[in-house]
Amino acid sequence: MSEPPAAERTRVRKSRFTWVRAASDRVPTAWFAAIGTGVFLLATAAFGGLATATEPPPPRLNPGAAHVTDMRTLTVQRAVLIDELPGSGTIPDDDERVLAIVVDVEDNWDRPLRTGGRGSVEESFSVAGLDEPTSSARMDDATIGPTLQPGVPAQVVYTWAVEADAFAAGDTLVVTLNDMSLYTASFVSKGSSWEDPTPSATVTLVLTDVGAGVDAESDDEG
Amino acid sequence: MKAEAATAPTPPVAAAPAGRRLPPWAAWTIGVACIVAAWFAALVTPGTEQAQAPFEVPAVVGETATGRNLVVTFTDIRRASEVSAGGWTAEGNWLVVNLDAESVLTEFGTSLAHTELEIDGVRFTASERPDSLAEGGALAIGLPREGSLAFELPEGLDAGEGRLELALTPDTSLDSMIVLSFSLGEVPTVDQTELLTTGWANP
Repeated sequence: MSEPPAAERTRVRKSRFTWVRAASDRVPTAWFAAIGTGVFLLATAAFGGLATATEPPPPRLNPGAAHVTDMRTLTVQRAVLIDELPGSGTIPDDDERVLAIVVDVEDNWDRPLRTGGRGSVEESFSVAGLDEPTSSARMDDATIGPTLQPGVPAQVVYTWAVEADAFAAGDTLVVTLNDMSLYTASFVSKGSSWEDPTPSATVTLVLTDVGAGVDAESDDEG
Repeated sequence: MKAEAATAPTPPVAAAPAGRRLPPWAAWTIGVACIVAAWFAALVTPGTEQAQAPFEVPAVVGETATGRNLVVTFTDIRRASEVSAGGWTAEGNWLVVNLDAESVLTEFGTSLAHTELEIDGVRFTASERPDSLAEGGALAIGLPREGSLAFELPEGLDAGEGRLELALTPDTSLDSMIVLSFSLGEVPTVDQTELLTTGWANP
């Protein structure tokens, strides 16, 4: 009923301590490495092992939603299939048609950006199943391969010459939008450029076929 | 041998007079002082940017600016919300300059390859949308070509310190660069303007 004597409490605490001590004393020192390795492996297995975790797919944007990066703001509007699109810079062969993707783009950098070529807006997106665009042009005055000035938005049409039967109306095109990193050259070269495209969003477009398309496209250009 | 070595006389090295000998702390002090001096020397050494900077030739509207390989006379500068050239018209925030330009040394490869405008650290290039001197052909010696350059600026940009740079090569290092400095807020504004047709000046 009264508290145990101080000597007994000390003995209890001491006995707990000695139990741990005695247990660890019985484990051969050489086993500790094996036990540590086992604990590590178990912990690794519990978190899915050393296999590469699947990265979550990049978020999906709707056509018409802006994708903003430090480099540019790119808004993918629509994709059309057309017999030919004069002024776009893409001249299809007899068995080819023109696939055009219309984008709104604005330069967010403090220097001009090109729409095509190395380190350009063209590298900041890619279309599944298509190589680099054949050409790019402004929608308003058909300037081919235009340069974008900082803060000045423009509507640009990227065009590909594709096999006539490779695409049809209703096909979906998956456009991957990339983040780019700004590299400043040093040592023997100089200047800055946007490199290392890294996917950060996708847009799914449904292809519309405007046939010969002159009327439809002149409406767009108007 | 041992005995010989032991009994060999000490070499006759004369101890330096005590007054001429550096005190033991001096070596370290001088070493540290040299490193500090080298650090300051490195600080004031111009970097590649400065060492290879272009030779700027300041220009004033209405006066001829002469560089090593390029002579330019700016004849007019204005801002406009609508610009036309030939059959081409565009609205926006435009800065347009008229100029006469001639080459000095050669007529080969003498187009204005560097036409940049810097406003408060943001760089613009002359628009390739209208026909202008930006993609006009080669300049001639002694016969100035006249034409315009148009720069498309963001909406709302109407003040700031501007610097218009002209040079014959895209890489401007270590060569003449004609520089027109101006304040964007003081540039006269018109509603509508037309670019000069690129051609011979004073026909």
